[in-house]
Amino acid sequence: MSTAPAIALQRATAQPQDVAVRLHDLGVWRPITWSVLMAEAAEIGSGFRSIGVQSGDVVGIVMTNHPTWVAAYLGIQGIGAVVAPIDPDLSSVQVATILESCGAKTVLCGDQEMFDKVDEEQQRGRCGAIQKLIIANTRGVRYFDNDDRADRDRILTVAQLRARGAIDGWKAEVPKVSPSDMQLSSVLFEPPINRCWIRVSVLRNS
Amino acid sequence: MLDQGQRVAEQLGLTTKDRVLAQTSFSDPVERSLSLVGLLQSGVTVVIGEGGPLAQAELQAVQPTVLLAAPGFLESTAAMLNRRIGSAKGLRKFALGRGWRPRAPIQSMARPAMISPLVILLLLGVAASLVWFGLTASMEDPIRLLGVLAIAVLTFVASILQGSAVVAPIRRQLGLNRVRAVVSASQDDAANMLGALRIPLLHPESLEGGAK
Repeated sequence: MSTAPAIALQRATAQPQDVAVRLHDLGVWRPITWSVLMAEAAEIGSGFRSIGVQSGDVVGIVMTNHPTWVAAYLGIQGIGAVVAPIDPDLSSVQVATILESCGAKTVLCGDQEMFDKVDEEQQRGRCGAIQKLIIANTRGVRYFDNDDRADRDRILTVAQLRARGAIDGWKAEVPKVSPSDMQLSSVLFEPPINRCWIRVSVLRNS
Repeated sequence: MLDQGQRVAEQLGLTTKDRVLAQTSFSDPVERSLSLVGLLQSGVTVVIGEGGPLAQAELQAVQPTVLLAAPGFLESTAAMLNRRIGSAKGLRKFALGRGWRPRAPIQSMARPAMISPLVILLLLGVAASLVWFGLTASMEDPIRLLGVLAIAVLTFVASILQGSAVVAPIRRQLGLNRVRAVVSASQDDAANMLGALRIPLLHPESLEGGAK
């Protein structure tokens, strides 16, 4: 029995130049090999570790489909943390409800639109447990207009996170994650959405 | 999680030769488990498109074998197809009128044959007749020639009536000719369209089973 990041690491070692993911980006098809994908996963995973994410902590991902989503998913699992994937099309209230329900302390946002959903709700006093916000695409995010901002430790970019990461450290952590550890916290809205009925699912690695 | 994904991959029969086009969100449990298991265990390439207005063009470009489709995309495709069929003229209108029949969705991986046994028998008959004609007849024997041509026309008409001459081109135009299965929560028109195209439509909940 194994875990998803362990299997992915094996595949990256055995066939590093095979295409794992192909991305259509601005009209160009971009292939991403296993070695590139897992290097990103290792940097992001160890980057999360460097900002204080511990084994068992919940990390929310509010992001559209992208190779960084897959890398973050594997990277976070590799340090034993729990992923809470959230549909980026949900409203800010729904996103906040899910983040509060699963007790996320750190959230990875895809871009300005998704970042604003979380940030707005925090300004309204919700999601108080969230200590760190990470943004993949910073275009249009006002926080990054000012280099001297006071919250520079609270709001980081994925690039900053990756710069703090250590690939070897992450690879050493992956085998320590047990297949029986909690791996995913999924909160699904069920109709009627306006009443905010939610269902919480917890899946383990195995 | 891996067990659940393994079951999904087994149901879809994923191999390294498969190409999965992911149009639904990774935040959906089935999409995620399917994509990850596809990546990790089957070694398939997962293609992440931009979606939206580019979704149809991406389908044509990728030529996936498994499509994870957003219901809205399939519904707009079905509406577009119905508009085109409604505005067809002449011989095309005749062929579409005979060969296009929305059908109940196919909800297992067993994909029905595109060509019925009747059409295969007629094709074999045409082939045998042509061989026989080439061996025994000459152009001075117009009755035999007309007989062979009549069988060929009959085969063509039968294939239209059966739908294969209509369905296959539509599948090619939509970029669905390599698709073995579509995973989507689509219903009604979109599901009937896939039924007519002889493409199995698997509902995400049926793939998830009791693993949630």
